[in-house]
Amino acid sequence: MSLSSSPTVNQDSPATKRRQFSIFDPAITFEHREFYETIVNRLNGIFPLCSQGKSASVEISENPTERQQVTDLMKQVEQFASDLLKVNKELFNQFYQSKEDLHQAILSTTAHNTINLIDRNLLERTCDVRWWALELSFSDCISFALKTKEEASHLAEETAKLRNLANLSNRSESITLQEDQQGKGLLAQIDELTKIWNQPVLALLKPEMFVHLERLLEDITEGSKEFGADRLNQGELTGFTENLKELHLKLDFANLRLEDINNSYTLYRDIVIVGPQGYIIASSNRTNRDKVVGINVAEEDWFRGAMETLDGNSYYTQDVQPSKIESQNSLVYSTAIRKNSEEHGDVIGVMGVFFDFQGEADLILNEYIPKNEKHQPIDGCYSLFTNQQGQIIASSDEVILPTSSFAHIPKAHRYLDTGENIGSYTVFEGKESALVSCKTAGYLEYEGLGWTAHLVIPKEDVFKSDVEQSSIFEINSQLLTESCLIPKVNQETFLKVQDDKEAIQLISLNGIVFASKLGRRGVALGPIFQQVTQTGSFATEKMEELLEEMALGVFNLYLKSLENFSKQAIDIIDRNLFERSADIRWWSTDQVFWDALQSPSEETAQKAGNRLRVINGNYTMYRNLVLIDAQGEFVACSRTELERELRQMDFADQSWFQSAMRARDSSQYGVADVNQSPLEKKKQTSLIYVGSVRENGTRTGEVLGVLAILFDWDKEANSVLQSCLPRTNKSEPIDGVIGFYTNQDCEIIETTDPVSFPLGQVIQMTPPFDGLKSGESRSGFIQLADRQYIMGVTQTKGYREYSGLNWKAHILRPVY
Amino acid sequence: MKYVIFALQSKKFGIDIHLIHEFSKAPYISAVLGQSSKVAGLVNLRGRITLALDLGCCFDLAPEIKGTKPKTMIVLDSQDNLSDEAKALGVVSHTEPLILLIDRIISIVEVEATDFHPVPSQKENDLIDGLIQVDNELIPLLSIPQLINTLA
Repeated sequence: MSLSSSPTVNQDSPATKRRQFSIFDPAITFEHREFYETIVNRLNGIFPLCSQGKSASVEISENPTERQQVTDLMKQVEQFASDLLKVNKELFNQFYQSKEDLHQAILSTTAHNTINLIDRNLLERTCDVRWWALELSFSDCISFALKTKEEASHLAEETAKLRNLANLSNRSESITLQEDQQGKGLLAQIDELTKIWNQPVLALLKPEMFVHLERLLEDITEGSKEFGADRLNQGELTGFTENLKELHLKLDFANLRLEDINNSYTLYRDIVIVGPQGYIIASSNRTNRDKVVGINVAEEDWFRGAMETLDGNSYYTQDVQPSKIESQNSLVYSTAIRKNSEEHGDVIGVMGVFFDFQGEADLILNEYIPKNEKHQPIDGCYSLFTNQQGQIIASSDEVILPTSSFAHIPKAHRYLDTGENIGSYTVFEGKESALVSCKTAGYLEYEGLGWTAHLVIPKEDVFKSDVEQSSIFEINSQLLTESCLIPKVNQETFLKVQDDKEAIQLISLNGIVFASKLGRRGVALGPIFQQVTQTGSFATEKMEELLEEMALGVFNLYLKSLENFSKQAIDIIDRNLFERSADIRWWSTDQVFWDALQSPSEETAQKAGNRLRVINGNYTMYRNLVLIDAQGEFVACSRTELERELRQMDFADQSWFQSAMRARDSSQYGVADVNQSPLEKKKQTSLIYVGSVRENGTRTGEVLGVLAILFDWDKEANSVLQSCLPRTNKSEPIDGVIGFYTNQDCEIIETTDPVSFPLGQVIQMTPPFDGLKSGESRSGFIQLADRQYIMGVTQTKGYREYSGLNWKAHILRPVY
Repeated sequence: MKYVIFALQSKKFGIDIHLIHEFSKAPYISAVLGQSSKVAGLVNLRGRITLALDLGCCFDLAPEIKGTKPKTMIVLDSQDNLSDEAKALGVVSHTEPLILLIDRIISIVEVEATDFHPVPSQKENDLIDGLIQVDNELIPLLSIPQLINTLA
């Protein structure tokens, strides 16, 4: 795909005509136009010289053969000069085409990366909501709330009858003023009670109300005796208030569990539990809970969508839009909570998770926007996401591109097919700019929400001169003619210029030899040929200079793209490992695990094993999940076939085990960096996350044991690295490209080329790669394994509260 | 007197301009079996089969990048075709036209008699018959008869 003035032009189509840059194209810089003129003027200067030479031949010799020899030489010089004039024109065309192509490739990759990062993230969110909704405490809480509500409804009917009786007694003439007053008091009390029964969300009844409720019930019972009515069953009333108290305990527990989830997975602004009527009964957001609980969301899409899901595997996604729950637009994933948390149970409520889309989008958009030397976004550069309708859902500049507005982008960029990307020039916010757009194709089984990522960069930045850019390498003729990084067409041009330059030189030298053989007669020819040599050399050297500038530009862009790829590689793995650190913190609090450690028995261990297998079945990025007691002995694991082997081991002296046993609270977790582990004897590398399992699952309870989760490191990391390798426009990795991760000791911990760069090999970070800071990217030449490469490296900066393990991602491309 | 300065890799050499017939880009050269490595092969030069010598091999200079071949050729006149002026100056060539394969021509220089120097005895080389000083640099001069002798 190339940028075009018409956005529909796509380079992949064979019928596409490539844009030609004439020297008068506005994209050509002033300096280059001047450069072009200089070369043309000097080459044009050769023609009068040749005419002069032809005339001189008549003067110096009467011999027709000698004259012809001189004339032939001059004609040859003219021919080469004409050729060079043509090459000169084509040279600028190639120069600008190659710049445009490379920029396009980088912008396109960047736009793809931004939408891909969001999609990868959202795929995890769909797993989260489905998994969390299966927690027993949530279904239990809703079931109990429903049961209590039914009781309240019955009591409401009884109270209504009582009120009618009280009302009648009140009107009776036999009742005294005092009784009358008592009667009125009773009516007011009954009305208050009725209000309580009809309360849509019993969760809104605060525990401090319970004493008042008990008093109220006592008063009404006492008062109603006056008119001989014993309508309210005392036992039923007592039972109800007890249930109400229990409901509150269950709600408290549900809120705590939601908080635990949110503490582990900090990507959410809120996680709520909703009753079947649409009233919110629990929320993870402690500060906002009072405002949220009791809100009715029955009319919101995410609630209705979740109520209609078919089973525990289904979920609903509400695209970014307003919700009563929060002031900013919400991206909500929701699913049904089912009776007894069974996959096919009746729907009894809904869980809704409010993803911090704006926060996440800000991170991604600002991370991948082109920046200047001061790390500020380049003026006129914008990065944004639009939804199916073309509305902005997030942008790098909220002032210029506010969310919910429509970006002024060409139609062709708004209606793309799934996975399609496009580039064109357009006037954006008053500036002629290159615009690339990439519509999501989703990620794995997640289809995405039809969003499109757009990246805008001023046209002047696409074509700005590379001459001023500092370069860490010298462009020499070997690099120009032999490096696989230089486009073939440019190499051919370079060779053509070199050939013509040599040819003119040889002709001139032959002329000088010829003149010198003529002795005195040839004196007049000497300066002409000298001048031809000088002019030819000057013009061709200028052209070589331009080719070198072009090569420098190509190298700079390649280096920038390798930096981008390495940044993407470390970002994806950091985000992935953030999820793992969240998983371990959350799973460690699961009741089944602390039950198995608190009350050890074959039955509880078996239950724990079953639970681990279910988790592992859903989270296939783990090779095994192992529960270990406080003595370091095996209790249960998800891979049954490894049970016997693991049962014979003692893990007490493993550093990861000890770190989890020492953890202060459930928000902490431990990690064993990629290495060999006794948990996986057959694997060369393991990456293990560990969490402490605590008494009664409380946050600071006594540590009863350790849950260890073994991330399928080599498979997952390799797949990330493969996805971050530079590719051809046929989506094949470019020949010879390599990606690897190194740990804090610069040892390779995963690689796409185990032959040239095996695991464990130490990559010395010599200048310019030494001393990388957190999140910093660098690029340059490197000689490794007897081969020269250009390499982009990025040091991890972690993701959210996951600080990373001091790793680096390296993406290499061979120079030859 | 004019001399052509040419290069074999980074080393410079000189040759009398009177010996030169023409300069040209090296064409495809067919190898001749049984010849020394100094002989690159034979070239059809406007109908005349001419011997081409790889001058780098003659001076035991292996190419900087393995497998690369000299890009330029110097065609020398045969002794008979030398100009009268050349003969008068005592310039000696081969009996047949000869091609020398070199890396590149650097320049044509004019030197005075005082710029000529003999080869120091300890640095004697069969193929060199003197040195010329060009811009504070001493450049060895190629001797064609001695070059031909080494082929025998």
